[in-house]
Amino acid sequence: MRLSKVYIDNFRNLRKFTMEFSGFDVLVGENNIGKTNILLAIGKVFSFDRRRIYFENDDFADPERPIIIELVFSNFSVPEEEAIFFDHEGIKNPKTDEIVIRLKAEWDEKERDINVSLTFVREDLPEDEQEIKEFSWHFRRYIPYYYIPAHRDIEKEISSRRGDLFEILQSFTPYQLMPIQALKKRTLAKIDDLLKEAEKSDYNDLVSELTEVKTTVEKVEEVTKEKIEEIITKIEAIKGNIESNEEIDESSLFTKILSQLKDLIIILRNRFSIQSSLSSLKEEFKNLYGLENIQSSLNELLAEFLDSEELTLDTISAKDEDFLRQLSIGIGNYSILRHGSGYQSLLSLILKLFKTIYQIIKREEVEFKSFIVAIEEPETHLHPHLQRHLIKTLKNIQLKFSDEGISLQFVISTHSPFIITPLSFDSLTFLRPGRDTSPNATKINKKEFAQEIVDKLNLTDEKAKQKKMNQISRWLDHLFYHSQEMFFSKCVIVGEGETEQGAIPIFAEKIRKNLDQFGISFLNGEGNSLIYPVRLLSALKTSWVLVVDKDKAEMLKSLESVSEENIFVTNTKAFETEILSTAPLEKILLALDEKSIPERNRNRIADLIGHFQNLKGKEIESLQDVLAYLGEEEIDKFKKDFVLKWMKDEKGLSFGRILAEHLEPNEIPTVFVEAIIKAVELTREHRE
Amino acid sequence: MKQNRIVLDKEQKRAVYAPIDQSLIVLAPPGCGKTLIMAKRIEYLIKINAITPPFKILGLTFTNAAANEMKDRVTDEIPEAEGIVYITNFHSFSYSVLRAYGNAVGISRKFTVLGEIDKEDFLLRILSKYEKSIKKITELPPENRWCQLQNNEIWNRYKDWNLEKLLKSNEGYIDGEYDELFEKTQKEYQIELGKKDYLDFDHILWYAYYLLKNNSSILEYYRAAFRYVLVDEFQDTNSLQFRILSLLTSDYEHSTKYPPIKVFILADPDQAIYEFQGATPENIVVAKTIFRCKVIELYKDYRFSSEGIKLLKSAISSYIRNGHISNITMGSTDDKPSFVALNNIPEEAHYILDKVKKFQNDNISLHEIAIIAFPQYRLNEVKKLLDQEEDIDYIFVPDFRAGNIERNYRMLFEGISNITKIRSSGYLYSVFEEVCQEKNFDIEKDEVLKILWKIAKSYDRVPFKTKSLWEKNQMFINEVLLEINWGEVLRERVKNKVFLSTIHGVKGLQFEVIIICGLEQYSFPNWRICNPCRRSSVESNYLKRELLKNLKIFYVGISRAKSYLYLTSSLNSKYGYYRPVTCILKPFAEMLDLNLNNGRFCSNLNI
Repeated sequence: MRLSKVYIDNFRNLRKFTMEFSGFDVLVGENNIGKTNILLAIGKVFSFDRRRIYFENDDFADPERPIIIELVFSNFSVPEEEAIFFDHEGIKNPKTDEIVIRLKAEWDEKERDINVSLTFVREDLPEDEQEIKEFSWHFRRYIPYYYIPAHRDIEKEISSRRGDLFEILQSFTPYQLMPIQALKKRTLAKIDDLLKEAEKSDYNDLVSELTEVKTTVEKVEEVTKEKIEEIITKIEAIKGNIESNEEIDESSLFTKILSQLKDLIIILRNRFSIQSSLSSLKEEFKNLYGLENIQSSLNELLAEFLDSEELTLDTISAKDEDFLRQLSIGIGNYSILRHGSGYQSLLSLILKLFKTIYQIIKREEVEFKSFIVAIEEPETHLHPHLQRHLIKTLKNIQLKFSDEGISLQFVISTHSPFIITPLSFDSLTFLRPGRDTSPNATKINKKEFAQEIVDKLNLTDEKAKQKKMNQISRWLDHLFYHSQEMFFSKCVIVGEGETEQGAIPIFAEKIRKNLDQFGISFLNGEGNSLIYPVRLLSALKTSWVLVVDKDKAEMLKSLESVSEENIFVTNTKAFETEILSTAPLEKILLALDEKSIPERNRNRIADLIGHFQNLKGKEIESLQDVLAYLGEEEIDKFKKDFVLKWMKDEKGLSFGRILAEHLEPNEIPTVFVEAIIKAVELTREHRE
Repeated sequence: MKQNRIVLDKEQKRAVYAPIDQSLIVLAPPGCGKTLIMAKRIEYLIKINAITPPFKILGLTFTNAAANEMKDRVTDEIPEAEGIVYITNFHSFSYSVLRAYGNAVGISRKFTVLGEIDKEDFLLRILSKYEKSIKKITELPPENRWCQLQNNEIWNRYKDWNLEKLLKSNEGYIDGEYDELFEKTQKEYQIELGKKDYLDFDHILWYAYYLLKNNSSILEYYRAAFRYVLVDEFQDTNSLQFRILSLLTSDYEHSTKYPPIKVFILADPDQAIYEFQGATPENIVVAKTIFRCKVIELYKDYRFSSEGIKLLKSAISSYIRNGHISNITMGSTDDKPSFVALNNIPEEAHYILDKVKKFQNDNISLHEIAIIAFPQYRLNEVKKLLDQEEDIDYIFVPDFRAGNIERNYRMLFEGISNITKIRSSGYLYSVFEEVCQEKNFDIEKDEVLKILWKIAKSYDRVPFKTKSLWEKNQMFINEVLLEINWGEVLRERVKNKVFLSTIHGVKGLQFEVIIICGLEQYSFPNWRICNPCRRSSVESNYLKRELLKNLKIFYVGISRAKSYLYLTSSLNSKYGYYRPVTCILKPFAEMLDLNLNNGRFCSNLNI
């Protein structure tokens, strides 16, 4: 079974928000876009509080309207899952095979309180009959939802009784953690249960043998070890007898109870044996440290102050179950608490996950194994490699469990580009600002996306089409390795080359518009048709501006649904000529100087001397020294024939950066300044 | 009845602890602890963890009351059964299927159950458009209608036609003469039901069957839940019920997603007395092959403390099966059930009254005494007599037939419905009380009202609490109309009153004392058989079959008695005609302490 859809309305910043789930979903989006609110809203429906689900007044975006949270479940693959729903006869929509739960929270003016109702909804029915039944808390048990928040505190989880570690122990070994007298009582009850059955069936042999077992268990503290062993062997023998006796019709009933009984007695025996070892160990410690003497001396002094009190000194507890509360977790011989916060955070995530999974598997009698785990920002405190590894591991765990018939659904929110690196588009849901402050959920289907672009290219040759499809598909895969950042951005500046990529962020800083501050990234079109990034960003509903060379501008402007004001066209043919036309030549030469290796510069100078007579015999150390000797006409030729070529030779990220660093704001080509200002504007636009 | 002390015998154990991977038919005569076996089997399935949540055991009983009793019994014994055991009857099961998914067969999920009386009205209205003889009947005052209707050929043939087509799913059935008319009538009737969101008993089963058959998604939803199905009183199931059962359990024709589910069927072919309502005892034979059942037959009975009753019971059972009394030691006992032929009906009534008084003196509680007859009218005289007795209270079970409840409390139901249409919320039970006061119904003095009040109140609790008053009322009315055997409800609650009932009305119940009256020609069997028999106007095989049906009814009657059994007849009818003692008793004359009072057995035909 899977949570396949949610609809959330009027909850915090979420309005008429819908989202679909695939089973492994990563929510990607900028801060404050509403990722946590989505996880919280889902959690409201599965709140642990039986009596009520709490909403604060400011959870209502519009206090006049109700909050609606609708969860849709589908993909019921095994009969077990359907069996569960029978307790709520009629909740499944037979047309869609879906179950819908609707939470509605309303402000009740009369009661001055928030009314919350939870109902099953069936959309195959007429409007007024759709809310068919109240949601029952019993149902909640079957769709476990675990929310692992971003803030994870390992110390709390391992050292407190309410922590995850203790809960795990409890589910593994319920009888071992039970007070020993309660365990004894339970064992006796099991014997009585069987006695009752045996008496009912007039099975007198069993009655008399069981009575003996009972008397032994009643005095279990006193009897010898051998006696208990004897009893265990006896039960084994009775069981064997019953199994081989065809006369006994109810044998399967008897043997079932007998083996449960045997298990209980073995635990009982082991616990008593540990307790007695503990007692003697405790005595030995007392002797070793001379605690007896210290104790009596202390008591003499104490008597002076408090007449009636007595003090005891002890090293360890003699109760076996006390030890389990002191269980420690260590990694590489050190307690986890001495490790860094990355390990601590990861371990607490693992503990939670383990607890979650184990609780489901343990319910073996309920062959229903479906659950949803929401993890908020799993990347917290982890270094990049571990982040990538973590997400791959979660995917593998999901696969492994699905092989065993367990459906484990993950919903993960993240800010980390590293988390999404190993993923592909089908597990990503992009949250983008929509109307008001409410986000929209967007998904990209790789194939459909490529198909759409290819369709518009009007290609006739099938081979060419296929080739194009592959090209686009590879380009999309590629993005996850070095442009993941764009998925988290509010606006993306798309440019044509690496030099721009280096230069534009620095230009932005120069004009006091730090791109990071506004959540703007630069995406390098890499000489590809700039149509891909433009299409992708539009599909992702991410704002963009395009800085494009003159020759491609016309084609892009002609695309439908592309707004001209987002396209910034250079006055000249390329970035280099654009810079050359606005920036002081000496600064360009300075940048070339800094960027190139000295040998290459020497060659360039030598080359120049060959061309320009004026330079002969002059002392020229660096490129900008040339300027002192060239006349105006020669400068033009110099720019056109040499500088431009050199700039193209040095093209690249670092040249872009070096060049940009040398320029004053007024020396930056206006097209870039305008593009940056527009981008900043766009990030603000959807804030309002 | 405390079960804890009950020790199962070898035979019963064979049934209770039978392997769970094998479907079973348990053939069990009266008194061998059928209810106990079913409860124990459920207990066993749960205790060995054969069925664990969320899966369920489906238990299908004949009536709601039996379902409730079984539920209480099982959950008392094993608390964890709550949630695992789903016990209901075919009608209620179908009802809840339609309540959940009726829209899938085009009916409103919020339908109201149409009672038998209203159903008859609907049908008569349609038929009278086309048939003069029916039109005449509808113009009569209601109290005179019944008798005329009984004798109306078209009406009787329509009833047969409907029974065959609907309940027996015998689609090829042909009346031969009126098929076109009946077809038209049924269609119009169904349209009328649809228009008013009504469903009658038969259509509840019919729609549920087609719903499950044609919607695999819904069928799977139900099949997924049940891992084991137990059916009681299987001899009384009709063809539609059987088909619903097969859809839910076996894999043939339909769902392949789920493996066949094992069934545990309890039946007694000797007690098959509902054929006139469409029951097909042959289902037992069919079930054996379809579900690949192993058959376990039980013999020992525990009900009868009287050796004489036990012998008579065995003799009749043997006769039903083999056509003769075999291996029964005749007359070796001195507590033979007595048979007395009285001169006339009033004398017979006095004789019965004397018996009741005698038992009352012997400190036998009145609710342990039942006076029963095949036709209801044969109780009238006894009733009249009891009315004059101050010390002897009685309860007249036929008053509690769904149809009678519908008729007698019509004003009450209408009153409640009218109020719930106007008021949106409130307590149903207080509306109930309000209407009772207004229409002069005294809840304190009326057993039925007390029971109805309790049912009404149950809809004021969770999970119905939040429903609208109108919806609560509709569910209340539906529950009342869906209860088909009030005998069981009454047996639980009524103390210190003699039970007066038809034999059908005490099916499944037991009493210390049973008095069966009216055991003469034209009463038991009735005129439908005696008339043609006397005139020799039909073939004798037909008569033999019909007489066998009557013998089964008689068998059900006598096997209600734990300790004392009295049989009576009247040699003269109300109008002075001579009435010989019923022929069905004749083969068993030697097993009875006979006082024929100069009368004789009817001997037109040897059964």
